[in-house]
Amino acid sequence: MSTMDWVLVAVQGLVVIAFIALGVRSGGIGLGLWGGVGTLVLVFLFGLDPGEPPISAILIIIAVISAAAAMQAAGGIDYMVKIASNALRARPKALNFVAPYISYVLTILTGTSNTFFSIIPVINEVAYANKIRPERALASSTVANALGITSSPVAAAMATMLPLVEIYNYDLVDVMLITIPASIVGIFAMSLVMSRYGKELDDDPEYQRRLAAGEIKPPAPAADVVLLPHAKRSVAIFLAGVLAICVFGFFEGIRPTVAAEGGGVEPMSVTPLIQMIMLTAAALIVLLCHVKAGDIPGTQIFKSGMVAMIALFGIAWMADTFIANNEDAIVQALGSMAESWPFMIAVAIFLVAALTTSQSAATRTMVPLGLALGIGAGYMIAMWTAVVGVLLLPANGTQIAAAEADETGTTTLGKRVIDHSFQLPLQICWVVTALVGIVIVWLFFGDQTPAPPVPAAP
Amino acid sequence: MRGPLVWIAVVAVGIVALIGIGAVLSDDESGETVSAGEWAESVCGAVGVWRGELEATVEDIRTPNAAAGSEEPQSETPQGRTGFIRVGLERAVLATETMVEGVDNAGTPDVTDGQQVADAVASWADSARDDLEDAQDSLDEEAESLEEAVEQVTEALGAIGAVLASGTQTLAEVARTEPALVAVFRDTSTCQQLQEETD
Repeated sequence: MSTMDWVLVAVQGLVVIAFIALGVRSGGIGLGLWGGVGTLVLVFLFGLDPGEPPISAILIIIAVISAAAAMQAAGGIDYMVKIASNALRARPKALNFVAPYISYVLTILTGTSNTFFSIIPVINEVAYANKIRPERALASSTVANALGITSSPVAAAMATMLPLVEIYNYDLVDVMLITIPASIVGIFAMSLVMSRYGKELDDDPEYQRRLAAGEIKPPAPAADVVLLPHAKRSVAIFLAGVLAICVFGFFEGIRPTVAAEGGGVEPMSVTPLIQMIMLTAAALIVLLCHVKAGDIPGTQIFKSGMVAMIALFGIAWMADTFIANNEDAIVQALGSMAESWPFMIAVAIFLVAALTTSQSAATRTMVPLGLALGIGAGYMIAMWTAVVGVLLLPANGTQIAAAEADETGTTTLGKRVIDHSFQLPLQICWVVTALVGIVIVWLFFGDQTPAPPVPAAP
Repeated sequence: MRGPLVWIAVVAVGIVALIGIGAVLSDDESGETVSAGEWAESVCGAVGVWRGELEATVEDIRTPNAAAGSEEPQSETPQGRTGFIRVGLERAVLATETMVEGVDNAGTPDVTDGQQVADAVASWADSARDDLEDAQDSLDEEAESLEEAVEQVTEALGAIGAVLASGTQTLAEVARTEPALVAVFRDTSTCQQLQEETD
């Protein structure tokens, strides 16, 4: 690439960042609208081919939000909040630790971070009902959810990773023995920090402003909540849907089969299954819990979900337009950095994931480079967890949905692109996870490959 | 609650620690003489990873829709198909450059003709990269018809297949010219894995 090409890539990158900044300042659907403008500028002014809008993620949000909103209309959210509040009565702050691990396990079981959309409203409501700053639990859970990808046997990134390390005698179990304990410690460290981060809700000026302006109602004490007659049933249906997704996600063999590209059949992907199951859950809640379909769009969950969907549409489309046209240049630049300074490999993995917003792309491009630079396969697995860097910029669906769900205003996408609520938990989590992973490899794996034989004397 | 500066400092210390560990772990032995076992471990590892990547690329070129994860209709037009092959070949070239890096970093085996052996493998790695770049250049012109696109797919897959085959052949020839390496290749775990995959 010529210098001029590099300058053009840099200018396009700045345009993307500028429009993200405009979007996060506008807030709400403004993020999506400015993302759309950014896409237009990239296509018309710079002549880039338009990227792919995040159709699958949008459809999942629609399905999940339909089910969650139906559950809210049936009073199910109130019931879940009541149950969770009772369970957490002695130690409400335990939510800051429990919620991230639940989101992490959901990703491990399904291999996709999209299942997290289903529990965002629940985490938010439980936090608010217990007067816990929602940012703490929501931001940690979003990061833990993304981290789950490197621990999941059914994730696409894992499928990309395994062939790269198998030649060094590391199989799926070895990878999980490194990433899962490391992630558990990383999530704990992050949750510990986040449980003390930010002002208490009662002292938060933005929350107080919203409260004073009547934009948000004060949390009702759990004891005062009057449950609707079919609240429990709606929760049972919703949770059964989530459980079904986990079971289908984890056991490929029980999924329906579809025609494979190369002939034969293969298990259906999890994405359409999530959509089908969640829409079915919504329909069953309407049918069996006597919810009027017309009441669902009036719920708070539905409104915030639709805002998140529009925000994601524009911003992710713009990001994909930039990335699809410049991925090779980004990888080449960061690859060169790692070649010149091999010690920067973990940071390079993090940045490639951030700039391509793809954990699989970061795995495919940077792990082989690290191995070629002489870094042991076990240590590369430990540092591979840095692909959680996809959350560096606030252009990810789960980040947008979490920020939109939090009516208190504590969970934000920031004002300067990188100063969002997810940044601190992200940084703590990836650094601690990678370091713990390295220690695990050092202690328990060492040099996995047998010692090379001494050659016969010539 | 602690101020954000404290957390920034904590994170910075962690990143510095990771960078420090990376410095200790990275093992550039280019130009150095290493034990034959260590050399074989590195070379077979680099070639094995590269082989896996090229096989994945071949799969992607054969089934572009599955690779893209979407039912993008343009990929079925001749132009779309050519674009997909180009992306596949770009990835193959990138993977080969990484493999060249790995082979260079492996150093020189401490056998009688160690330098000659290292040069032979490095020379093959370089030529593999050149061959794939040539295949990539041949795609500069868009296919005019479906037949032409099919021909381009065949040529691209042929080019990848040829470099894969020449790699195995080069390692076999190296072992023939330097008998001390035969046992090393046989007993080194990455070479065993590579052999199993090749069979």
